[in-house]
Amino acid sequence: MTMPADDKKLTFLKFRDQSTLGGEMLMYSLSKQVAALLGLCLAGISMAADYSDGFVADFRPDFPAAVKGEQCVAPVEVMRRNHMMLLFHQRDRTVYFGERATKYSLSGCLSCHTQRDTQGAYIPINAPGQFCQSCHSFVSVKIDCFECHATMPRQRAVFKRTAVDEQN
Amino acid sequence: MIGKKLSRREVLTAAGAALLTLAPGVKLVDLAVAASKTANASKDEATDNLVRWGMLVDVNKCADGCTDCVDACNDEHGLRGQNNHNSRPETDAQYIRVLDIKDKTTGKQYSLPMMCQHCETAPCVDVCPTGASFRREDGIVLVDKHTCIGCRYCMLACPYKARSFVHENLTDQVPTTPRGKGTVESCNFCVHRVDRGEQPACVEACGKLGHQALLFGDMNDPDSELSRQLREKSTTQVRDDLNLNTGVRYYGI
Repeated sequence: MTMPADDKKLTFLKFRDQSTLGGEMLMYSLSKQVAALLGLCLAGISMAADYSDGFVADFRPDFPAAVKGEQCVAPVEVMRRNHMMLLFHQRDRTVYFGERATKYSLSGCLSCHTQRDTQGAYIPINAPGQFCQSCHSFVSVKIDCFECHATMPRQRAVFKRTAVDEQN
Repeated sequence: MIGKKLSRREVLTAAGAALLTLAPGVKLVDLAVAASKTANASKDEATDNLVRWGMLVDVNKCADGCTDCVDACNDEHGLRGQNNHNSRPETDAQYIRVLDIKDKTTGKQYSLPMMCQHCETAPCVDVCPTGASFRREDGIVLVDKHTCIGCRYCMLACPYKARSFVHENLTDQVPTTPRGKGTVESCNFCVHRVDRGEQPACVEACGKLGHQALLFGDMNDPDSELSRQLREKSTTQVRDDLNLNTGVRYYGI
């Protein structure tokens, strides 16, 4: 029967909401205070040891800036650490409850972070050096989102019609 | 039957409604319901079981040799990718197919589209070992491909042969229909369109040519065109002996 399965899902989602996402958000608010303290200490150290900004930048992955939008859907610190939680959460809400707000969706990422080549065609976001791939290869994370999910906004020839349709 | 269990709050609200009559015919609860219906238009709204999506196929209007519903479906879900060099017609996924049927005793021939029937008691949901196959609150039967392990038990259980298995690595998927090797999939009533308040792609394509053989709507809403036609016509569930209470009904078979 269908009901028990649905109930299981609900419990599962509730658990995930509270334990993971809520926890991460709390950690974020705490981490801001810790970071402030840490920043003060580091300022002292950097003055003493003469570390330049360039030194730190060398150890960051190099990825293209977002094509549109000034601000991501959450502060950069949150996105860096927790984008996977946000995506997981949105994923389950969408699959089971049909909530299709694009704020934390994968297609939301694509709409700002997909680059175009010189001919104006989209470059897959999981191609080497692109937004998703550059960080994940930097930290040696293998994700399988893009074995199923689209890697670029839709741009294809329509069946029985010749016009190139572009959605999203 | 799809019945919404009344919560304690709803019982109390209903009881209060009897007392709180603002003016003749206008109640506080009516106002609240009106407000919540406006909010339902939002993309963020979860589905509920007040709605049950269904479809009526008028076989008499289904034109011979027409495959518009199938083409529209393939296009909508990216089932026939142009750059998919692994495409094999024999094993490629199909969400909807057209059957040509002949009654041997009378010689009457007709075609009809066959797809996932979105059963209330869906055998695929019953047999799924991981819970990947599930029925949404609004009656749409789906596969959560994140939990599907590709065992294909549901394909065996489905009396309508509605499900397909993805055998090959895919590229160029459509954003609204994520698809991947090793998972089972089937007609999802174009759930992404339904959530936007649109019709499934096959229904739209069928209407475009004026055939109007497919009608999509809410089976729970007595005022919907679908419910009205289901009330008036003697429609059939395919394999009604299985008592699955299908969401897709046929007229003229």
